[in-house]
Amino acid sequence: MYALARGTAAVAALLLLAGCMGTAAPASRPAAAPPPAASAPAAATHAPNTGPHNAADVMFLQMLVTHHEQGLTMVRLAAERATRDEVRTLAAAIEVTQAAEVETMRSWLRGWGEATEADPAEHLHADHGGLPLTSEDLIGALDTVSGAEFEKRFLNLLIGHQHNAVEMARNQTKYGTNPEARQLAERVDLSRTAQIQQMLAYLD
Amino acid sequence: MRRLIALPILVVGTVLTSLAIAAPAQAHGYISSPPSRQAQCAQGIVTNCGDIQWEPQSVEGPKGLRSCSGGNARFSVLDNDSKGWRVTNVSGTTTFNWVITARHATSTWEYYIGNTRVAQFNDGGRQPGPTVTHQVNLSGFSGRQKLLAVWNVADTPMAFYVCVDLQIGGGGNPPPTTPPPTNPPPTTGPTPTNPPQTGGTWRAGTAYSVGDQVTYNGVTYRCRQAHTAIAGWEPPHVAALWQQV
Repeated sequence: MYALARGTAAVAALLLLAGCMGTAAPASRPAAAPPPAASAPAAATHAPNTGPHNAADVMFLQMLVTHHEQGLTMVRLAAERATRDEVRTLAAAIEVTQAAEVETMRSWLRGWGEATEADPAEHLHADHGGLPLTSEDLIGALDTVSGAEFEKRFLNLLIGHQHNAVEMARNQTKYGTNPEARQLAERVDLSRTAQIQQMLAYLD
Repeated sequence: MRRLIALPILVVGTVLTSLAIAAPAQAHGYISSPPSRQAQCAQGIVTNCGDIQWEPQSVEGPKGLRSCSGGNARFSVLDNDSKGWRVTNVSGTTTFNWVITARHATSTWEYYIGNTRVAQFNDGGRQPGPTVTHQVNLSGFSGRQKLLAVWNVADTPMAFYVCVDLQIGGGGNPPPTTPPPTNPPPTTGPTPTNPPQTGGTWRAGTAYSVGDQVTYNGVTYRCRQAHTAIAGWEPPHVAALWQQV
């Protein structure tokens, strides 16, 4: 009974994921975020990811690419406009690490012949907690403020954003099969949880 | 040909079922400042909190409750008033800031002290903005109080519950209990204080500057981007932060 229930859940999850993948339409997405190459000093070596993979792996990477691009939009604003050194330092470190992760994930997806991002406008993603905010929402919330108010909004937004990354990563460790994508998910889980701790301290 | 028709029906049926099965504990929101009980668990300043440490945004329960845990047994630590929660000094009108991870259409936001509703904000079913801030007048209260905030979702029977421990009034207009340290104690990542050290000088929680050198697993790295080290950012995994020497 247990095995049956588990099997059913797994199949259902995969079909749900397949639904998400069907929505990936990179061609229709305006190039909102600049390519991260300029800000990724490390010429990360993109070793081909030839391990086995499933639909969950593909969706995880596509969603995380899109999610990261939104995060990059925020941290780039903070690197210029945050008032405290420690907030700017964290924003800058998140920028370079997430930009490098985006490059790696795109290279894996290209190697698998898949679209390299998800469509952030799709409600289907929001329905399972994936992509609840658009870049326009984020920029709109940050564009009109400065100083301490900017920092407060930025930190609350990025904390929520990284909570979403943790959720995606935990789904991946449940449903994904690709070893490298699963390792990436573990590092995302750990590092974003620690970033949230830092940011909550900055809000005190 | 018949199969082509049958398959989509099966898929639709299964996907609908899966929404209940596969959807993770859906993320929503909590009060980040003044630091709520779940925020203190997530930040690690109150320890041994259990699951809530990883998902402070998930304290969801049926509408109408008056409990910090929203009736969730696995978050029952939030109901424990003697857990050593940090108390924030406030007076008069106090600002409450929320972290929102899913923007549910909202009927109301309510703030209670005891059985008294001290404030209500009616969103009329609208979706909240990406950030939510409320000003609540607490001038009718004094001393140590447990404030309960309730986020009532418009299109489900559910609400989200958050408790904040406050010291109201008493001493003019005090700054928050714990002013931000200029350099907050470095966080240690979600694993216990020291993640497994595999040999080397790299340590989570250390602030590194450009040019600093560490060893990790017998390999030497030079810092190329200033940052505070955290679990998940070990030198071999983040070439954007560390260059092998």
